[in-house]
Amino acid sequence: METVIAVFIGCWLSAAGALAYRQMKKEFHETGRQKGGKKQ
Amino acid sequence: MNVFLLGMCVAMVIYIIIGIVVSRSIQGAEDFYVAGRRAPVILIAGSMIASYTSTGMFMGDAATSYEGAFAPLILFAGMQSAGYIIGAVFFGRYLRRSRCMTIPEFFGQRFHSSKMQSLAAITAIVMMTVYLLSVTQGIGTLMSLVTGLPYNGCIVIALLVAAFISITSGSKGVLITDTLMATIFTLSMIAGAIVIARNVGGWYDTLKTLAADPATRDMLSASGRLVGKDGTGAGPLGYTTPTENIMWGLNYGVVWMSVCMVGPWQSSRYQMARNEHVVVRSSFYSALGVFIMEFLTCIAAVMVNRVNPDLVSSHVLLWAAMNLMPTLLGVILLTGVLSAGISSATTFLSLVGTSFAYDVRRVKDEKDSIMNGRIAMVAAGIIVALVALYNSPSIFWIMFLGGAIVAASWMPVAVACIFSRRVTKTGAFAGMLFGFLGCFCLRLYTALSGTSLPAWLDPSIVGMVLNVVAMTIGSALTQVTKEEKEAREALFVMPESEKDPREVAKTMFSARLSVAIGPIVVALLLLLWVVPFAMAK
Repeated sequence: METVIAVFIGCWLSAAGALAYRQMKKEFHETGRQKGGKKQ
Repeated sequence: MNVFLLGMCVAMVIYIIIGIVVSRSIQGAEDFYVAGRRAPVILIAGSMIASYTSTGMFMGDAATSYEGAFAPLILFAGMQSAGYIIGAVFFGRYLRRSRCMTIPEFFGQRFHSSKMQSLAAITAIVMMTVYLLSVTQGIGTLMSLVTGLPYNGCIVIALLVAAFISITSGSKGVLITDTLMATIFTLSMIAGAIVIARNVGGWYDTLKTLAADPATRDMLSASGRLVGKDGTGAGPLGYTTPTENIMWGLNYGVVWMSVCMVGPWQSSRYQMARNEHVVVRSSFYSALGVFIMEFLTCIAAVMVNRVNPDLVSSHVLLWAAMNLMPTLLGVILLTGVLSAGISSATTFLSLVGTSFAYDVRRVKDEKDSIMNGRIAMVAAGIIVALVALYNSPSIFWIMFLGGAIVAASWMPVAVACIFSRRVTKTGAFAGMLFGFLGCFCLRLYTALSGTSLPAWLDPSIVGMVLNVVAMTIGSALTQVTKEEKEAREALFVMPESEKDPREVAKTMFSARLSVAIGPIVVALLLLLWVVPFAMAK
């Protein structure tokens, strides 16, 4: 059970990190596309 | 003179000098309230860690862990650390982007509602005053124990120092002293935990011994202790079953994740960041730093049981610093704990002043605004001193009340104001009000009547549910106005200054690091807790 708690905490933190990474990637990607569009 | 008293006096004099020096560079309200919005990653992360770590952790969490609730505390500590990562990306960046001076102003601007701003400010002042009370009681207990001075006198001295720093140098001084204090107590706690482990018989040997003894085994097990230390009554969290203890950990994990995401003493640091990249990059260090500090504090407190199981529980780390460490390291650690308390107190006082002057009184003139803020800080300090003097210390539970109010009154509204198109000012106002009242009144009722509620009916959970229900009904009965719609859309327009490709690349690297935090923490927990515990079976 102690191992389950340790792994659960790790998964929780990584899930938060993945969510944050996905959002940042999405926003910077959209920003990059908008910038590219303007140049054209 | 007592060497511990000498160390604390030296530390306080240094912080006062820094306060005086920084006060000379304050040129206006923006410098005073948001440190000129020029802070780099180190100052933001340092201040986030310092504002979180206070006597509540070193004495409250340590005490509860020493009594046998290590695993539920680690569960909550791990879950809450995710709040820094989520909060920076999904709340902090938008807060920074709004260029508001305070978080209540952000709510007011988002909903075009001065009532919303006032309500947010009043709830912020209540939650920070409550938390300040917990910190003050902790500082008083610490100082009186190690210096021999009277408890009441210690409270007055500590509040005077914190008020002096906050009043003279504002947020700028608080950021610098916070980072200095965070460095001192992080390094001293890391060294302290290693030395405590060595002096009680070694890390693995101590954990194996405690886990092998049926009387102490539950201190390290997933369920935590289910009876009092004398073998009667409920465990340290007030529960008697493993499910309830784990429920407590999960529940407060969510509550404190909310605090780390949107709590005013945490997310207000983002308003001081140089740019949005600093907000995102600082979150990794804050999350990892706070988790490591919680883990070391709690595990060190458990290990002390091997050599002295009969301490007053809130004194456990103070006793360890004075009896299990070389004098110099003990002085540094205790000075670090004091610093942690004072740094939190300066943050709370500074935010109380800001909220009062800027959001409640709404003084337009910069000089008058700063003066009003300073008066509010003095008033809050006096009120907290009086309450602390006439009530016995209850550091852990008062601290948790402060966190519960944040989760119940602010969290759902903060998320909805950015990510919901349908939430209106009536809905947001109702949500914040009912969340606050639900949590505060239920907690007051349980305290006054001596009633204990089941783990799933905790006031913070009741408050959050009431918040969501009231916000949903209020928003369903009213329409989103044009101003509200425009205010929300403006939050999603990224400033040109944030699009520098080099800065973007560095921030994306930091975001990737945040994904790696999970495996780092699992490795730490397995190596330093689970493996030695399992080896004792």
